[in-house]
Amino acid sequence: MSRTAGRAILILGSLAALLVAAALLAAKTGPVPCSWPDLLRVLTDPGARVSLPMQSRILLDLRLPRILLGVFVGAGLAVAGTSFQGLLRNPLADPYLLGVSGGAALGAVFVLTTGIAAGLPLLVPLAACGGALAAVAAVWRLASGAGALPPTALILSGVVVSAFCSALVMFMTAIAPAGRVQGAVFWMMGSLGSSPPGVLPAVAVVVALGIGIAIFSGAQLNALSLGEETAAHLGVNARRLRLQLFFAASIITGAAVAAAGLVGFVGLVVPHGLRALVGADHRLLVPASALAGAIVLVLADTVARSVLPPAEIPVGVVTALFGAPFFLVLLRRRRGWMG
Amino acid sequence: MASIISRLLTARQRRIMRTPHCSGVRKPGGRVLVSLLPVHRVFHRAAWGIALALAVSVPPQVQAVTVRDAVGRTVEVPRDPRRIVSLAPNITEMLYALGLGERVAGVTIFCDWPAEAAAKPKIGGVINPSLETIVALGADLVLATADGNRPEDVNRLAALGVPTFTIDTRSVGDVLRSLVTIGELTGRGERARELVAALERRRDAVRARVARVAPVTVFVAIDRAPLISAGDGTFVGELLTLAGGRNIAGASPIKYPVFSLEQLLADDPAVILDAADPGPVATAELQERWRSLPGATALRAMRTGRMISVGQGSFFRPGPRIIDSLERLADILHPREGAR
Repeated sequence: MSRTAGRAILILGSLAALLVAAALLAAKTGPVPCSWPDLLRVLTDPGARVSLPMQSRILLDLRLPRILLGVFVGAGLAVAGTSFQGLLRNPLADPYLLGVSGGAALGAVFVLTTGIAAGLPLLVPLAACGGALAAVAAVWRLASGAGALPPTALILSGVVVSAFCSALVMFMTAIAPAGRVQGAVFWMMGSLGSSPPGVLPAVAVVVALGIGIAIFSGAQLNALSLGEETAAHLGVNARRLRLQLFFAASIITGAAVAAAGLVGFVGLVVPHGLRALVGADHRLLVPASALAGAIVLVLADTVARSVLPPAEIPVGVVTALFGAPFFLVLLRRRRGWMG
Repeated sequence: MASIISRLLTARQRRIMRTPHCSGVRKPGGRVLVSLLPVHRVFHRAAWGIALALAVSVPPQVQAVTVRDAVGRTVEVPRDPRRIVSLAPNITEMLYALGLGERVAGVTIFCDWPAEAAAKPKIGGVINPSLETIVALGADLVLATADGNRPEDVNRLAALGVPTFTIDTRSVGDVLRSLVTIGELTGRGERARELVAALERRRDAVRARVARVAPVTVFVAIDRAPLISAGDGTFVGELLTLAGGRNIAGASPIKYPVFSLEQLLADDPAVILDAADPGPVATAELQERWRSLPGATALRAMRTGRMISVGQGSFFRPGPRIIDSLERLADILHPREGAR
């Protein structure tokens, strides 16, 4: 037992150190150059606001909030993916499988294409979050008819709700004037740079709460992965556990999507990679996923910000571009999953 | 009864029936043809040849002229089109500017100027027009733009027998040339040339005025979340430069980039133009909206109030009012003495 604990501390400690390194690299990198000494001065010396006003403003007002948002969104998406994969016992599950993304996109695209969000920037994340939770509630109701929330019922309900939402999204995009379509399209590709300032603390609270629930459920999730009956013998109420995790993963995803749009592949690839690396013990897998998801998204956003200066590319493009080949490599290494 | 007969006829037959038989007034001369080809100067030599061949082979009571449009398609346009359908708001504005409002048979749902254009029958959107509505309106000339409309729709309309002519409006020069082209196609050549000459004089006056002063750094926000701008090589970028601005997004590798907020803070332009809202908003309200962008409060334009909303609508629309916008831009970038 103590050997396991020691290994867990080693793994989580290394990941945490990597996250700090990734964050520092992200803080240094961008269209406006910044040297390491300047970076350290701005981060440590309060007087830098006066002596290095431009660097301070860019680092503290722009890059730092964006890095923090990347940490929470990345950690959240990875934990949501781990939870969905565990609770649905399906390795292809990701945070968007159960209709959350479709509902969020519907909410955001509606306020963007009708133009009512023009003067109210907070309306976009609110509408996205509202849409996500409405879709989850719909999936929930549809699947509850089948009893103990079996994975198949949840997945099928999710597919139906997603399809319906995406039909409405396409309809609204088709009838909207060209100028407003672009904003909606960019939103759907995902970005960490366009959420208004009040969003970060809200996302931090919701994601931390969700991750807490997921970590707390780790031992029970291990039991569930042995099969529903075995889990019942071990005193695990499968329906309650699924409800709990479904709720946690949904609020995380809703908050992440509201803040950053649809950032794909983090919630699919990170849990897979980590499972290959640290094993399937959810007590370790969930916190390790959180740290790794944060590292991946912070680095991906650094690429998105700096590859074509002064233009930015959507971070969702970067995660998919790197995530898809990586996922393929993982699948080839663990051929069992491909049948 | 007449409508039943007309439904049985092909589009071409209908077109010929409607065309008044008095085309001897204007000779099908080569001049008309050549001036229809402003964008493709390299083709002029060939065009003279075609024109000469036409002038020789076509009888004087010709019903249509064959012309080449801005994307190189050959279009047979009736001599005196009466039912013109516009596939873009800037085309609609051009038609009205040439006094052809009476002949406009259909417009897009986005055609909002002049006010009477909005009352015309609608044919759908710019990228999704209803082709059957256009055919049902009995269009004898459809005008499309090379960068706004889809070539698929243009080709489908042509295949349906509807003369569909594409103009290019990607630069101020293209807009002015297209006005002349449309004028020539519709028998308003003289009026079009007068209008364009006046517009050119106004453009040159702006040029002369800003040539005497140093360019002013300017940033244009097409959208705020994400922050989208316009680089050189776009119509918006051309206007900024013409009006004596130095566009800080000019060197962007992407035409309409999502612009780095930190680069905006670093460049700190003297003037910020905002085209993100449905219509122009007051500067105080605009500053309030910009406050939701992290770090934006530190921008020089926020403090000096040189932050102007022009709205999404028609300010940058490549139509006949573009010189109005150019003059306004020049006034924004280089305020006249005592005008501020």
